[in-house]
This record gives sequence, structure tokens and C-alpha cells, in this order.
Amino acid sequence: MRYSIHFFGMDAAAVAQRLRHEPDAIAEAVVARMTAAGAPTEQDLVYSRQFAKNICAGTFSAEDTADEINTLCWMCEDLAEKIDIPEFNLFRSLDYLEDIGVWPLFQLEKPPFPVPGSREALPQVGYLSRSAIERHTADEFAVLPSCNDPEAEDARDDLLGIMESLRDDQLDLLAVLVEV
Amino acid sequence: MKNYELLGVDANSPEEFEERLQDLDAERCDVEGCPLWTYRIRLIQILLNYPCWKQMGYVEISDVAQRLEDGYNAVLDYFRGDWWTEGNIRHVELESPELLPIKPWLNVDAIIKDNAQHMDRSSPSCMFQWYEPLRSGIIFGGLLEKWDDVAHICSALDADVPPEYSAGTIIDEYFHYYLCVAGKLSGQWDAGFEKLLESAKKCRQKRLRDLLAAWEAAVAGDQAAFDKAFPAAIKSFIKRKDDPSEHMGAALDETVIWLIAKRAGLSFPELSDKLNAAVMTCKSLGLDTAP
Repeated sequence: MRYSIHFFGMDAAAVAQRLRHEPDAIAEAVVARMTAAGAPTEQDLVYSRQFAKNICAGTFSAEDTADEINTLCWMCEDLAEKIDIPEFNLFRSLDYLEDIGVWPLFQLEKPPFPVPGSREALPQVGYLSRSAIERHTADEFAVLPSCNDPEAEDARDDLLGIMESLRDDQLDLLAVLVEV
Repeated sequence: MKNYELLGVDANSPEEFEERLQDLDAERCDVEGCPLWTYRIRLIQILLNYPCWKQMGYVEISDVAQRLEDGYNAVLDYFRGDWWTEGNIRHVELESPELLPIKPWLNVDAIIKDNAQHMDRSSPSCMFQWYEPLRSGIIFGGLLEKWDDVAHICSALDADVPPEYSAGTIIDEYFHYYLCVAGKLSGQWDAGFEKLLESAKKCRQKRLRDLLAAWEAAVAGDQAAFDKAFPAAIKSFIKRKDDPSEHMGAALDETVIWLIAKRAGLSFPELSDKLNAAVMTCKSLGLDTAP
């Protein structure tokens, strides 16, 4: 099994506003992005359109979490800035993520809009507000213990560098942890 | 102290490098002349090992200039040669079949197909691997100060060349950055490169932002900005365990940037021994008395 974390920089308050006021437009943007990216079936598009509207409304199904989170990622590609951090792509073991040590920090806060999933099972959505980003960049993750694996240290450093850039732009960070 | 010791590189039995040098020479003989793209890439990597090993202090290499020249020629042939075409492979099959790495699972038709998939850039699905050969070519040619020849290599790339597939290990903006490096060196800078540079500058990864700052200072010939940005780039390289710039312990991206800065007339900044250790210069390789 491999895992990835997809990161999205955003003005979370502005995104929350758009989710409240533009559900139809957001759903159509998801459909347009999926169509442009590949060849989804008509059924895929119907479901994704509905999932997008459900996310905007904050109504989730216990059975469709993976599909809802997949749709959330498509929505964020339109509503936010996708940030690629190679060290968080296609890693094999959750122990590696545990060694990096940052994921619990993403679970301390909730974004100011509803997101699917839970803290108990994958996939999961995490969030760092701009104030948390400010705090963690100021102390360079001082709350975290040292990594065992030097590559985990690289991953932590890369994330810190990106958070510094988000701090300068006064943005928040959404993170989606998925099995791939 | 040797440079690899200054950098804390695990050299894995450094006393064995004399023997490894013989093995490297033997491997070079095995791959040289073989018209299969993987062998061409490997030849370039082998030829890059020589200056990197010398830089790290693993082994003394007296004819490093000749090996750089050979490296430059290998890169030029990689980008500009017709060695990969079906016509050439058929010719080699008739005239010197020993150059073809025929295996139970690899016949001549498979070589032709594999080459076309990776070298025939007229095909939209071509998986052309260009960035490591390009960077190597700039290093070989730059260390020999053959900038017209480097421009010739770089002009094989335009702003439309797609990023290589890296399974998510390298961000696209890094490839965009290297296309910009090629665009400036070839003298064929255009709106396409400008767009790539904008994309690279928007990147939030600190490592790439450090490289960009040093490269832009070098290209602009801005000594003050270079004195600040270049050490920062080397520091960010040294801090990382795994970085696309690293080859045998040497910092290739920073070496490229230094060579470009030198071409622009800049001086090598005052650096600590540790920072100096990572960057190949004409002086560190014994090619000149100045960096």
C-alpha cells in the first residue's frame, strides 16, 4: 500500500464563503476539471457533481468517504493552490509519516468549512490555519521530536519551507491523506 | 580533510576507490558505443563520476580534462546524434553487432522500439530524458569553458519540452527551471521560457527558490546578490539527505550556477571549507588556478 498527502494552500475563510454561496458553480467546475483531465464516465460525473454539492452543504455519507474526499481534492484544485511536496508523495509506510511527525499537528484544528472523513480511518483531511502556520514556522516545529530517518527530516524541512511561503502570503493549508 | 569528510558523506570504504576506478573504466568500455538510450545515459553518468570523485577526494584523476571532454562529446551526441534511429541500429547490426546489447529479452527490434519511445521527440508520447544529460553537459562544457558548445547542446531544448516523469519525486517547476537555464545559455530565450520562469518563481519549495535566487543573481551578473544567494543555496543542499542536485556527494545544481556566474564575470564568494567542498570549480578539479 502506498500513501500520499495532497496539499492545498488557500484562504480558508474565502473558500468557506464560496462553498456556501456557489455550490452549483463549484460542482460544475469539478465536472469540467475531471473531463479535462481524463475520460470519466457519465456516471462518475453525476456522482461527483452530487458529492461536490454535498460537501458544500456539509452532508456526508458514511459509505462514500473515499469518493467524497476524492471530489474534495478536485474542488480544491479549483478553489485553492495545489502544492506538490515530493517527500509526501507515494510513501510506502505510515511509520514514515509518523517519523516525520507533522500529521498530528494537522489534526488539531478543523477548517472553517465542512469536510468528509473522520480522524479514525483513512482517507483523512487535515488542516493548519495561518495562525498555526505562523506558530510552527516561528519555532521550526520545536514541538516535534527528532526524526529517525534523515529523509523524514528532509520532508519536514520541505514542509516548513512551504509553510514559510504560505505565512508570507497569509494563507492556510489543507492536507488530504489518501491511500493510492 | 577530504571533501567527502567535510561534507559528512558516507563514502563506503573510501580506500577501495582505486579499485572502483578500474571498475568504472571497465564499465565505461562496456557501454561506450552502444546505441541504446539507457547505455547512452549511463555513459554520461560514468563520465560525470570522474570529476565528482576527484572533487570529493576519493581518488586522484590526472586526466580529468580529457574525461570532461569525453563527457561533453557524449552529451552532444545524446542530444544531437542520430545513433538512436532505426537506420543507424540496422547499420550497427550489420557492421558491428557486438555493440548491440542483445539479450534473450532484448532483440534488435526491441532496441529500435525502446529508442524511439525515449528519443523520437516528433512523437507526442516520447519519454525523452533530458535534464540529467543537460546538466551534465553544462558542467562538462562549463568547466572546459566551451560556452559556444554548451549553447549548442542547450539549443536542442525549447520551452515546450515536457517535464520528465519522476513518479512524483521531483516537482515540475524544477524541470521548468532547468529549461530556463538552457534557454538563457542557448541565447534562444523567448516568451515560452519567460512563462516557465514565472511558473518556477511561483513555486513554494524553498530549495528551488534558493536555487532560483542564486541563478538569477548569476545571470544578472549581480555580485552582491550572488554573494548572498549562492551560499544559501549550498547550505540548503548540504542540509538535505536526498536531493536531485546530488551526485556522488557533489552539488551539481550549484556547480552549474557557479559556472554560469563565472561566465558572467562574477567572483567566487568567500565560503567555509564545508561549503566549498560541495561545488566543483576549475580550481578544485585542478584545471586552473582560479575557481
